[in-house]
This record gives sequence, structure tokens and C-alpha cells, in this order.
Amino acid sequence: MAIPTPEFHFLYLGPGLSSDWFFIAGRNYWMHFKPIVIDKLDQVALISARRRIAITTLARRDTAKLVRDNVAKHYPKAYHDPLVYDYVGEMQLTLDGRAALNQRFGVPEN
Amino acid sequence: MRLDQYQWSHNPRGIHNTRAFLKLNHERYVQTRMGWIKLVCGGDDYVKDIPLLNGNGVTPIIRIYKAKFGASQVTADQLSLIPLYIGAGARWFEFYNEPNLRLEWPDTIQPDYNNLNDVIAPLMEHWLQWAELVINFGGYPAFPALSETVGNYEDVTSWITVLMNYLAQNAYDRFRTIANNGLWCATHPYFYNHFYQEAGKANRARQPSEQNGTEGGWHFEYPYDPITQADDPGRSVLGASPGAPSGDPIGLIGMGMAFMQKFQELFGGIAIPVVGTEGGITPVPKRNSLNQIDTRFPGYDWNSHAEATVACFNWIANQAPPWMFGLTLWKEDDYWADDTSTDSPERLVAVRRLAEVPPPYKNVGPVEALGGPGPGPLTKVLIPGPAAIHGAPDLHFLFIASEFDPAWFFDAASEYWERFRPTVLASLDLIGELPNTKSLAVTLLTRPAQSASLTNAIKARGANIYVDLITADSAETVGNALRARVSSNRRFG
Repeated sequence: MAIPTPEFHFLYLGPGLSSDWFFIAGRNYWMHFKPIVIDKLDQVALISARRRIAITTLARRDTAKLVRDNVAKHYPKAYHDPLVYDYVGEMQLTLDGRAALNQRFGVPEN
Repeated sequence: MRLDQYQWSHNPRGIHNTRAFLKLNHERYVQTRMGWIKLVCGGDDYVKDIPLLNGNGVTPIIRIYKAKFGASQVTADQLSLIPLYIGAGARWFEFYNEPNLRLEWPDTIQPDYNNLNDVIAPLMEHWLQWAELVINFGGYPAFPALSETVGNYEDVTSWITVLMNYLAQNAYDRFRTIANNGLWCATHPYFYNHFYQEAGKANRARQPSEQNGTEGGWHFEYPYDPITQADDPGRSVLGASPGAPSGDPIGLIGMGMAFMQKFQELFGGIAIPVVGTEGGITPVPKRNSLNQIDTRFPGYDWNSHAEATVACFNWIANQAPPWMFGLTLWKEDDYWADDTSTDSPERLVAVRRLAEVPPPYKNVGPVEALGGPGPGPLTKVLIPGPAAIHGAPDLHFLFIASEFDPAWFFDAASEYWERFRPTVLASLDLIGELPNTKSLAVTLLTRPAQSASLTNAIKARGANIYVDLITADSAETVGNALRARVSSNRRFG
């Protein structure tokens, strides 16, 4: 799937993730890209299906499939950017790297 | 309830007291043949005066003063004082005073008629509660007097329309019940020089030196008088005309007519009493000066002010609509030039003329308050943007303003976010996407300088949005605010 330029970019904290996943792992990433932070996927449905939507999901390995299936089922037109790590520190390394390289979805944008 | 069932002096003349706690000078009211006195009270200060006032034919109107009362609920001391005054013989009560003015509200609230949640709804819900209490005690509750201000968020015709629409949408039956059990409407007609005495023809005015208060030919029906209608055909209290696009109620009976129009249109009403509880020909005159704020009408001077004041009460008694019961002039110390007056260096001629001229008596016919079942509740008009909040909002956004250092948020807000899990965003665009079936509260993190403009920017996306403002200049300030909420388990401040 092509890397989109979203009109709305959500950062979704998957099931069971504490505030550390946002306030520690996601701090630099949020300050750089300012996505809309949600912990309930149904909030994406507030936006018209006509809009270009991207969802970066943070999840541990045990819930990654559930998250992926939910996004695919409810928001099939959205660009899904899944990040799966079991530890806050690992997630932070990835998200900090994206912020440092100015790569919202982990790859260079056109 | 019919107009002729209200208990009062049937004399439209009235005066507003200087301020609470000052001893009343009953002799003044007898000499000038007053039929009403508006008493702003601090507590039970005038309870003992009530029997004497009633005995002298002076009907008291009671307002228990509270500074910056906003849309507050009736207080415990007000609740205890109302039956005390009623027990002494008072019947007529006011609660809110000019709620369309900024100075009547706490400093944190802008009294904008567009703000349904924070201004209009609590004002009317708390007023309904108070009015029902007054009726249960045996009194007559007043619909609040509005300041006759034109334009901006204080605009009087917008306010009366929004207030009456709110009642018609949300409290149709309750309001009709109140209207049929003692309701009256308080107004504040400061009517400048919007009057004249004919000089031979209906649209020709006598000059001030030619006016005589005891002769006929007076016109106080502004804006329906011949001079105004010739100048701006069709001008009315609420409708649009070329010269007054928002209506023009700035006359002796203007706001009474505006209320009655809405009462009839929205509730099937016929008439309830109207009393001006502040106002008069304003400003009070000084020797050797002419007040002519509106150049379409003659000005008034030191002597003609007295003639017109006498005439306006006679006009209320003999020519005004049956619901117009009187006016209490603003205010006693100005008319008698007491030391407390800042506007009047010497006693006004009106005091002498009112003492000389016998008071009028207003006959009131058996006019019912209501004329049948009425049109039924007004269909609610959807306000653009998110829905009104009932209880808790459906959605809670936490908006971090661009001027607010996000590091402060990350340093200080993790506990708050963990507890309440708001949606965090840095753009307001999402609000424009929301369906009007969802209600929304926005916690706004901002520096003090941007708080007003950002609050307005959020409100512009929906009048129903609740804005929960947190202003801060450091991580410590925002941390203190958010930690206090966590410890008291309060999502909003």
C-alpha cells in the first residue's frame, strides 16, 4: 500500500497498554508528528469514510492479531501502520527513530 | 390567573430605593403619592417596613441582592427570607437582575446568549425552580429584567428571544403553569427622550418649555408613535425595519411588548403584569441643560423632565396596554439629591410635581394569563456541532495548544491521562467531523494569553461544547492542576 498523506492520523494504544507507552515511548514521536491519541478504536469511526485516515497502532505480541483484525474489519480503507513490541523501551527506540528521521510511518515520505 | 386578581396599589407611580440597608423615608413616598417601591434588600432589612408601605398604598417589590449572581440557584438565605417578606405582606419578587450584563456574572463566565450550556440553560432552569418556590410561598415571581442593551453578546432582543425559546422547548408546561399562577415580567425601561407631547398634530411635538404633564397628547408608545413610524416605517420592538434590523424596544413599554409577543406566540399567552423596576427618563436632568440623545424627538430640560415624568405615569394608567402596571424610577437618591447621589446635585422638580398632581388609578380588566392550550412545545432546533451534554459528555478531548510547551504535558499529565484516558490532539479539525449526536467536552491546555481566543475558536465549532480550561505557564502549574483532579477523581475542574 502506498504511504498516504493522511488528513487524520491516529495513534492507537492497544489493549492493556499503560500510559508509559504514550508518555515514555511515544513522547518524542507525538511532539514531532502530533497524531490524535486514542485508546478506543471506535473513535476512528467518528470521521467520515471519505477522509484519508492512517492509524498507527501500538500493541504487544499477544494482542497484535486482535488489533490488526479489528482495523482491517472496521477500517479497511485506512492506512494501517502496526508496531508490535513487548516492552516500552523497544517501542520507544522505534518511535524515537521515526521522530529523528522525520518518518511518520517509518519510511521516507515523498 | 387574571390581571385583575393581582394584589397591588393600582397606582403606577414608583421609585427604586437607593441601596440595601438604608433606612426608608416613608414620608417621601406618601408626599409623592407613590404606588410602588422597588426594594433591593441585603437580608431582612425591610421586613418591618412592609406593613407600613402597604398601608400607605405603596406596593413593595423585593429583590434580595447577591453580587455577581450569574445563573446561581436560589440560596438558603433567600429561601428563608422569601416567606419572611411574604408573611409581612409582600407579594412581588425579583430574582436575577439584568442577566445579559457582564457585571452580573462571575468573572470566569462570559454571559453570551449563544452559550446554551453555561448561560441560558442554567439561568432558566434555576429561575424556574425559584419561581415555583415563590408561588408555593404565595408570592408573584418576576421574569428577569434585561438590560436594554443593543448589540454584541448583551443584545436585549436576542436575549429575550433565546430565553423564551429555551422555555418553549424545554419547559413549556412548567412555564405556562407559572404564568397562570402569579408570573409577572420585570423590565428596565430607561427610555431617554423617546416620548413627546403633541403640538396640534399627532406627529408634531411641543418644545420642552411648552409641555404640561397634566394636559393630554402625550406619546410614550415608542417605537409605535407617529414620529418614529414616519421616520422608519414598520419599526417594531422585535421585528426588522430599515432603521432597526434587530428591532427597537427602547421605550417605556418596549420590553413589555417584546415579552408579550413571545408569550403569545410561543405559549398561547394573553397577558401578565409588567412593571418597570428600574428606568425612567434618563439621564436625570441638570439645570440649564438639554438632554436630546435621540434627535428625532425634542430634548428634555430641568422642568420638562418633571412634566414628562408626571405624564408617563398618567399615560400608564389611562392609555398603556392593560398589562403595564407601573415603573419604579431609578433611583431615590437622584430624585431627592441625597448625599449618596453621584448624578444629581439638587432635588429634581419631578419630586415637587408628583406631590402636586394627584396620582392616577389604573383600572384593570379580567384579562386571563393564558388563552387556551397554546401551540405546544417548540421543536428543538439542532445547534450545529456536537450535541448538548446531558450528565457526562460522550467524548472528552484534551487539546494541547500550539503555544503550550508539550513537554509540560508529558512531564505532568501521565497520571491524569491514565485515570481518564482523554483523546489527545493538537488540532481542532477533528471537532468538525463529529456527528451532532455526540456530546463533547474539551480540556484546553493553554497559556493564559491564548485562553480567550482558543475558547472562542472551540466554541465556534459548536455552542454545545463544554470547554474545560487549564491555563499554565509552567510544567509545575499544569502538574498541580492535573494532580488535584486525579486525587479528587474529577475529570474536569
